[in-house]
Amino acid sequence: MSSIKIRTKRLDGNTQIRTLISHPMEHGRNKDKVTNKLIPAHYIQVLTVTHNGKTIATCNMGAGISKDPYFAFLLKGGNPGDAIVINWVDNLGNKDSEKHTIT
Amino acid sequence: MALDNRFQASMMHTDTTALIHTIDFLLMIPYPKKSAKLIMGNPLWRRLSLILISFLIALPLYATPKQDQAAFRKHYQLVFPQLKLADYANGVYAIDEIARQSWLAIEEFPPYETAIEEGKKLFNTAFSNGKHYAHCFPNKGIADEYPKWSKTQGEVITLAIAINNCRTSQHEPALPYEKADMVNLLAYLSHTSRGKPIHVTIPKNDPRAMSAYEQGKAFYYQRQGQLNFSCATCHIQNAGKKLRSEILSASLGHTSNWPTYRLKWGEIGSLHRRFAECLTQIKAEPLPEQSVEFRNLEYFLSYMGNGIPISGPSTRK
Amino acid sequence: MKVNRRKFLKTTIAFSAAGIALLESTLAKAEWLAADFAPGPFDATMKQLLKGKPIVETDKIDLNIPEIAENGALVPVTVTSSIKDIQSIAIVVEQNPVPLVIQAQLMPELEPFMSARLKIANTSFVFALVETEKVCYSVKKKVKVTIGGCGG
Repeated sequence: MSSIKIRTKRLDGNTQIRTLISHPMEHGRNKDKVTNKLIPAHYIQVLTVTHNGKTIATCNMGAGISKDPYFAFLLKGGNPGDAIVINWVDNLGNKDSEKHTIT
Repeated sequence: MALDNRFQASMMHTDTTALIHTIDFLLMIPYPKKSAKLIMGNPLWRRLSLILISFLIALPLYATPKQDQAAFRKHYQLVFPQLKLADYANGVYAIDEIARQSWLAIEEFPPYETAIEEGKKLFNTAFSNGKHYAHCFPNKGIADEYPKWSKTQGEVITLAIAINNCRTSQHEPALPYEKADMVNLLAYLSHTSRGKPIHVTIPKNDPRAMSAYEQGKAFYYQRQGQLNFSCATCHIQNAGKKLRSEILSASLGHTSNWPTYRLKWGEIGSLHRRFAECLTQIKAEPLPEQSVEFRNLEYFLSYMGNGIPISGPSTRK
Repeated sequence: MKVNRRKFLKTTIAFSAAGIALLESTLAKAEWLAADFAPGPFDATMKQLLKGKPIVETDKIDLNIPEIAENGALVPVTVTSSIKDIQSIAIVVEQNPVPLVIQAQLMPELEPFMSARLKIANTSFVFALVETEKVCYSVKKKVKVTIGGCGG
């Protein structure tokens, strides 16, 4: 199942794109309470948003973003049927992608 | 039953001592010399007056749950005159404006949505025998009726217990209370009940139900732990006041918003997990989820919150 | 006309090389800029981010963030701006071990708007940086992060 949820809504002639992602965003400085070992860093580094195939946002981030990250952007205009795709890559090389059609 | 008697006995003992001092004082006020002479001089009079006044002052101790509920709410009405009953479903966010803004921003796309989805999937997955949870829970939106008293089992049944009762009746293993599957199911069932007013009852045809309620109530008012706090210390006496930088929430409505994605946990968890955490925070021994004490406490608190809409699952700090 | 094979090969290779170079530079852009996310003091991070661009404080950026964080693990923030032709929005938390939290390169298809949820380790100034081609505009707000009542 995808880790990415996408919602869009019309806002004064623009389209707000909101996304909620399931990801630990672990910075690597926390210790496991049971083993007392450091929990390895595991966080999204790059997130991209495309609109009808064109990249409209490229976000570089670190583990300073909260666990289960949320982002919102505001697309100028936007029409029903438009495709929004969100991709992410994390520091361990994991990836995920999700598509959403504006209604 | 032994526990009941001990509870009541200990409450009676401390209260009687306090009462005797109070009575002495009260008796002195109107006719200090006269009444003192009369009562102190006559042993029978002394005993009779003590019994009468003890009875009158002790009457609130034997109040009905309805009277408890009225007194409980009256207190909060005085502290928070601006709040309506339904507002208490939002806990501290009804009284802390800065925290409320943060909470509303998070509610735009809340982190508990995954739990609702997972819970829905679990609810709709068939057991090995082909039956579904719907066999036990034919109606949607049932979280508002829990906890319930079970005459056959002789204990308070929370929704979590009911889920496991369903599973075992269909020859499925019970789910551990603190693990994700149970919490996700609770999230889904809470979500389908959103907006429905809490409606918990204490059946009159089984005195054990009232006893469980009274035990929950006693636990609530009992001082515990190294810090020697009771639930009432923070959530009645100091509701709305600051404890370091936090504003303390009212107990009224405390059972309406669970399970909760607690920012501190970075995940969704149950009411009993929070109860256990509270005990740890006052340096008392935490109890396990679904222990009889926690179920009775939930029974008492839910009854106090009757009429408040279910607002779970939710986000809290 | 006879096709000169050598010439043909040379041209093809030249074009391919150019193509690969172009592809690599696109990938490089999407590559995570480790230097920007190095742990370290705020001043060093800002120097690395700005790369010599002048920084100007402005009231044309709205940094919507609570003044007291309920829990430093999740602080919701929204940045909007009336500045035209922006290239990116970045958020820097002065007291965080890694001050740069996020840098979003936004194409002209997007309005100057971004919401995110940040971790703020300790009471700190939070900066919103809006970059245009020539200037980096900034605004800051102080966010208090406190110990909760019963220890959290």
